[in-house]
Amino acid sequence: MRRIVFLTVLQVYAIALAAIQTVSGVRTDEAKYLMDIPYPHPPAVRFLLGMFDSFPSQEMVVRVLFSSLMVHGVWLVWSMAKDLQQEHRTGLCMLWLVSGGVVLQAGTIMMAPITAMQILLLLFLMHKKAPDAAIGLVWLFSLFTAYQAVLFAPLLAFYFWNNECPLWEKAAYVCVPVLLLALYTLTNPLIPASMMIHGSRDLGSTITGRSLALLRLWAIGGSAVLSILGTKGIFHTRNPGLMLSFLLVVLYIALSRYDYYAVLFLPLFVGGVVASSSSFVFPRLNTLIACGIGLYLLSGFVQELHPSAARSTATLLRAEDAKNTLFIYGSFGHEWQYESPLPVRKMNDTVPEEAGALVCLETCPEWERRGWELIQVQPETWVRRHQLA
Amino acid sequence: MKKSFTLFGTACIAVVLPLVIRLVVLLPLYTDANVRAQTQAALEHIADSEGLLLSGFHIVSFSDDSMRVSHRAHARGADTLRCFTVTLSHSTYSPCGA
Repeated sequence: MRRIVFLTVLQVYAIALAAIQTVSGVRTDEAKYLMDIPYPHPPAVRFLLGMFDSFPSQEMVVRVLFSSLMVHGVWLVWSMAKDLQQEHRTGLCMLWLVSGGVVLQAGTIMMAPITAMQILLLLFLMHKKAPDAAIGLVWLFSLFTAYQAVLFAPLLAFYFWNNECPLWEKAAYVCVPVLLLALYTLTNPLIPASMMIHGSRDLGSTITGRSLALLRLWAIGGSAVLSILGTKGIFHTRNPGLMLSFLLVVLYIALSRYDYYAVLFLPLFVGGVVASSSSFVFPRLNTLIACGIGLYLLSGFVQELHPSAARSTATLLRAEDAKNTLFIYGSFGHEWQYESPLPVRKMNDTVPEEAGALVCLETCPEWERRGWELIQVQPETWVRRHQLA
Repeated sequence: MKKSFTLFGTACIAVVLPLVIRLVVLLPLYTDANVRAQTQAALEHIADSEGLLLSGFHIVSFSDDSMRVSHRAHARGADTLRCFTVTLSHSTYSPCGA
């Protein structure tokens, strides 16, 4: 009975976190995964999502699914922490649930939280001494879900290093999935091109700026408390796999600085606390502080939520019963393709005959506006009322 | 060899086979810098002229001076598929079968 109550409470929490994320609509990266657009990440998860892109409630269903995976990940944490005292075990589970990674990212349709969950699953399987093939297959699936999983290769390498299987088998489990990922990258030239573009982001920022941004994401990932306890545990336990993976994540975030990578710290923090239980001090006080920080992060996030331009414009186009093709002038993200009720194309300086609606994300070019009606000022949106003869 | 490793090996082979086939198709992109530059120019030209997004293109095959590309206009539900035959040296294109 108690377990059913916990399950219900956790599921309600997961649905609430997913519902919060729906307010702003689908983001560019989320649209890529929902419609299986083939970059930048490999296809394992996005292919499955793309199979259901005609389903009207796809966005909400996937948000709830992803959010549930993260929230119910607490059962893995609970199982991994079985050697901790009851108070510490409960405290660690609470720290997972109120961590910034879960609170802010559980309901997003991004690959970073899925990678975090996959790494938590790998840590769980290693902790339980699961069959090597199970660990190898989860590793292969994780790499083909998102590139950032490769940051956790040291975890696998040191686990298999201490394993009893033959050396060639150890090497195969760790390296073959990485080589397959490299081969996959060669077969998709758009991916390296996209990485070059994103790799040059923020090149001009100072070391201080990068360090502060890194510190912020490290703190958000574990709502500060789990960040401190987990990092202390990682270095106290002297597990080379945990330490090297942590340093790789630090380096990766310092170079890329995307907020959604904060969640990548989360499974490592849990691994650190589980491996070094003595690092977890004052469980009640720490849990209370983490709850406060989690709530603070959530309230700040909620205050900034507003429907995206793509969503509000798409709603308007539906209401206006726009027909044919939507042409967009200026640079736009994939969320327009996802939200729009019409097929979307780029517009150059002339308005094509097949245009039924036009959105200008930059100043609109001049064109013959007879038969067109302005339905929105920001972003400037026009609908063709009469097809020209 | 352990049974569990056989399972892992089978999964890896299932992944590698389609990737190798695809790599053979794309080989000219990696062996000939000229083809690489012409392909990039041609795809950008089609994207600009037709109002298409580069992310929707998929190279189907290369042959002599031409290549065949498909374009998937990603959207909710059924995607619109188009196919183009491109003459690389002139960066001209026409719908497949035209």
